[in-house]
Amino acid sequence: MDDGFDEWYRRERPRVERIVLVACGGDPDVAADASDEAMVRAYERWRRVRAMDNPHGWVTAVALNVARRKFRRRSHERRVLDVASRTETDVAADPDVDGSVTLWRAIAALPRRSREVIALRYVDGLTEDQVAASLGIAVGTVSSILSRARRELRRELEPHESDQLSS
Amino acid sequence: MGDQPDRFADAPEAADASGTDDDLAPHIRDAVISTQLRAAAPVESIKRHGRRRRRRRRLARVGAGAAAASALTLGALVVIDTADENNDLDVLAVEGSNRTWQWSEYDSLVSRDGTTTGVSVRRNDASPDLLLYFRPGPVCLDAASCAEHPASYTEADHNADVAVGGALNAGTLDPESGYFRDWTVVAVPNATGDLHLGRTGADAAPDGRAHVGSNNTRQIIKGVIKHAKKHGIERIVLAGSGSGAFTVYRAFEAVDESFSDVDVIGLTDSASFPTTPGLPTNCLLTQFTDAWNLNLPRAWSDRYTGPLDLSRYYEFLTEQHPSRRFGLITADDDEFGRSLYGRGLDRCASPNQKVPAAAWVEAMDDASATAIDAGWDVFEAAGREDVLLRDLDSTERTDLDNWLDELMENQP
Repeated sequence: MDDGFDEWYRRERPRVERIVLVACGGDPDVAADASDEAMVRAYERWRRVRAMDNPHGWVTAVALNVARRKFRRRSHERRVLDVASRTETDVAADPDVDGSVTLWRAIAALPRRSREVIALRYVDGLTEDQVAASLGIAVGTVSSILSRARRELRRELEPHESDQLSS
Repeated sequence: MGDQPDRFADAPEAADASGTDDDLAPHIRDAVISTQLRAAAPVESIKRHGRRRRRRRRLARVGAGAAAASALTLGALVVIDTADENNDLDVLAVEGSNRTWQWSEYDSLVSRDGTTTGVSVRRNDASPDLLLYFRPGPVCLDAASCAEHPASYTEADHNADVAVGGALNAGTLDPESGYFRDWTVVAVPNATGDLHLGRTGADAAPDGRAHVGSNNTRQIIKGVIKHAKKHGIERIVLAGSGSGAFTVYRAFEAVDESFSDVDVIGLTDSASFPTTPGLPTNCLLTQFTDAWNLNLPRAWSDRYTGPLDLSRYYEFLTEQHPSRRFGLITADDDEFGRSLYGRGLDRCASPNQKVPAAAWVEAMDDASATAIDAGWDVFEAAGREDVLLRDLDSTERTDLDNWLDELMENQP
């Protein structure tokens, strides 16, 4: 019986994975694992999830929570260092012509909730109100986090700024 | 928030940031698109896992129901005093109380007026989960506030609290629908008016009555630590609301050190530490010391010097206990918090001030951001304090139950 899950899964899975990718600082394994886990939970409760106003929001929230725990368990600090060292290697092998290596490194260095806010705001395209509703925090908190995160990213991206951010 | 189309589905160019107000968005989007992602699992594999979990969950429910049905249900008052020479209390050893509230009174637990008190316990013999909950209530900091604090908590108070509609059957503790309905719950009453942490003799206390909250708390926590394994407890949430939440901040360390093989989660409700200048007031901090002799952990003074900044408590706990999880619940309309933190806002001689509502919301935003940066999970309620004891009228996915579910990782 077609309960709509297959089509929803094909549409939502890549979308959620990209949001989580940014939220976890650019680790594709964490992003994929968290997205799969969230999809399993969605299927487990599909009757309830399907009836929600916003199943996408729910599954995104679940995926972010799963990613958060995976990230924490593997030791946040070690992960960030791994990403940083990986990108250093990449830099040596392949010049960071578009600034994306620097950008991933800067994102990975942000606090976890800042990455989540950035992901929902910039990747999912939510408004600050929607980000607040999605994460269960106040709009003022989102604004405050976003403002700090932008400041941090701009500072890290300084060398690329003239090439990348003013285009 | 409506369901939105996948802007990445067809063309990268379609992924705009819906009116974001700076130029970081396209760069982040490009970085995402250029990252090699793993192939998605086949949908059949996802469904197979989901079906398997559903089956496991059904089996677990059947097992729990059978265990509950076979348990004794004496329903009588249980008075236990199992204090040993170390004076720890086995508060979980309530016989015949499966899934019903019981009053356990101990000679060594003392209310502010010197009479004996106890704890309210709702055991679920089939559950490996324990909520150790420090209850909220008024504080006794000076003559005026002490007059408003009930000086004792007795069996009669317990009976009122566990009656239908009582305080211990509300919100997340509701036996039918509350998040913790299937957990074992130990609720510690606010019998001492000192954040469960006071350590002053009668001569120093504002109304001439000793503050002994710290002694009560120590016995309860020591007892839980010592006896939890025996009772099959595998996960503990150390939680508190309002004045009880301060207990969690301060007492977490004692629990954590001894529960190395048990999952312990700290959950503070309606007691935040903002970085807002002037909050909490010096007046309040002085009263904490003068009235209750409150102190900070030794590791705190090893780590921090200079002016006291309690908002560092978030990073302090996450850094002291990196393998633990912490949750913070804030309330926009927190009368208790506004009153407590407002004490002496203008001058210490006139302590009965409240933090203005707008400033409070700002302070809570600030506290949330600080806690989030420190790795805490935060739930912000748009309403009154003591959120764990309220029935939140919410059907959003970020409602309290869902948030707690994720915090606890309560998955089969």
